[in-house]
Amino acid sequence: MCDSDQKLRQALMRIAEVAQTAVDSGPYTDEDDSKPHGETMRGSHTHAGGRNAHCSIKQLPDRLVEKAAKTAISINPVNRVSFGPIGAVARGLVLSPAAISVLVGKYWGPQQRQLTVSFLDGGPSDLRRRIIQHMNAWNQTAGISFVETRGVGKVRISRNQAGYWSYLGTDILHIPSNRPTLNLQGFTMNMPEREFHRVVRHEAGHTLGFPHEHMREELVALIDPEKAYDFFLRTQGWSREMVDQQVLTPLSQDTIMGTPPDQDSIMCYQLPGSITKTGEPIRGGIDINATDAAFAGRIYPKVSAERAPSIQAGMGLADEWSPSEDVEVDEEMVQ
Amino acid sequence: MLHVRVGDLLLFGATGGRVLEGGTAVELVGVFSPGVVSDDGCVLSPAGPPTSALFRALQSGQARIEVIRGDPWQATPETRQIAIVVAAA
Repeated sequence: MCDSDQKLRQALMRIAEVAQTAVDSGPYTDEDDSKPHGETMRGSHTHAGGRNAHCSIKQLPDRLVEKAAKTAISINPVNRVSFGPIGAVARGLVLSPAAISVLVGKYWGPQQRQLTVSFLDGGPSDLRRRIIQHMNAWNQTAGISFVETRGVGKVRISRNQAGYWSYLGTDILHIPSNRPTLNLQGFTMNMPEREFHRVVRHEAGHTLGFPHEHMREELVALIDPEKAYDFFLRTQGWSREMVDQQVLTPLSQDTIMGTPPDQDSIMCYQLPGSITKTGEPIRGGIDINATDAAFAGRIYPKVSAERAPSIQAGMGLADEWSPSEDVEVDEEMVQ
Repeated sequence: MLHVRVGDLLLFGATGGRVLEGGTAVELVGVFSPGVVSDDGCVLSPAGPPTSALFRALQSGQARIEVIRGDPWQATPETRQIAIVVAAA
């Protein structure tokens, strides 16, 4: 496991630990709560044990994130973070340094939140209500809910563009407000209930920042490239390059936060046995399963508004100091 | 039958496509996903299969193309053939 992967997992373990504490054991209390907040504890933040013993991961002020990313990459190129599907689609494009810090930040954060939803094509109220109800299936365990607004929603749903798709997590905030962030081609009240479970919940999962499960390295490894090239050329007319981009390029391990690969996750497509090495299909999920629900609940804990600030503090919000105190990193130091 | 001129681009909402006949008159440029360049310069693209097939009229002649829609990961896509006549620009 590489360093960055390990750090990410540690951070997630930390989220889960803090969330679990908050959910199971009443208000989260840091052992340092007796100390004045705002006091920097770097270097002296030691715990001899106890229920909440931990090391908080502090973050830099926003203005320094890009610089820090550059420095990290200069020191060790392995620190470069890439994002599988986007990297594939944008192959050949050079992402700006700022993207490095953005691409790891599709996660909405641990605070409970409501995401407003609007429908660009209108549509009958019973259909809109039904779609939002299925999106909120995640809310059974996760602290994020979807609520319709008559204004411009953060989540903007269309039904008249091609395909089923959604932008990932906080990326939706970058999409121009007249464009959809989630598309449900041709969805009507006549659509079978199972499609609302399979498609609407899947796309809502993307909005929560969950990528495709079948792009996990372990599942991509089950696919026979030659069979895949033949299958997609025959059925879709895709070139080998297209198949490489769409099917055979796994998510970078650096960006994955999650459970072990799960063929039954709602975020996993069904893949036919005709493209796998063994001839066995990848089953694919047809609804949010227990693992999905538990993971969503751990990443987006359901906590009261009163507890959220202490969870934020426990996770280590960005530290702050005056810009005049910023340290310029000597380039010779990173050579 | 679709009548176009040399240099015209034909964009279909589709997951795939191919030129069945007349490859000298029409070419498949590619199959694409929508994308947005965000204000910080990052290229954002949604998770999901590609949604647009782009063809280009290369020179005068006739062609027949196939436009493919549906879940690319299942073997039962919906296809539609379209005849194209390309006239000089």
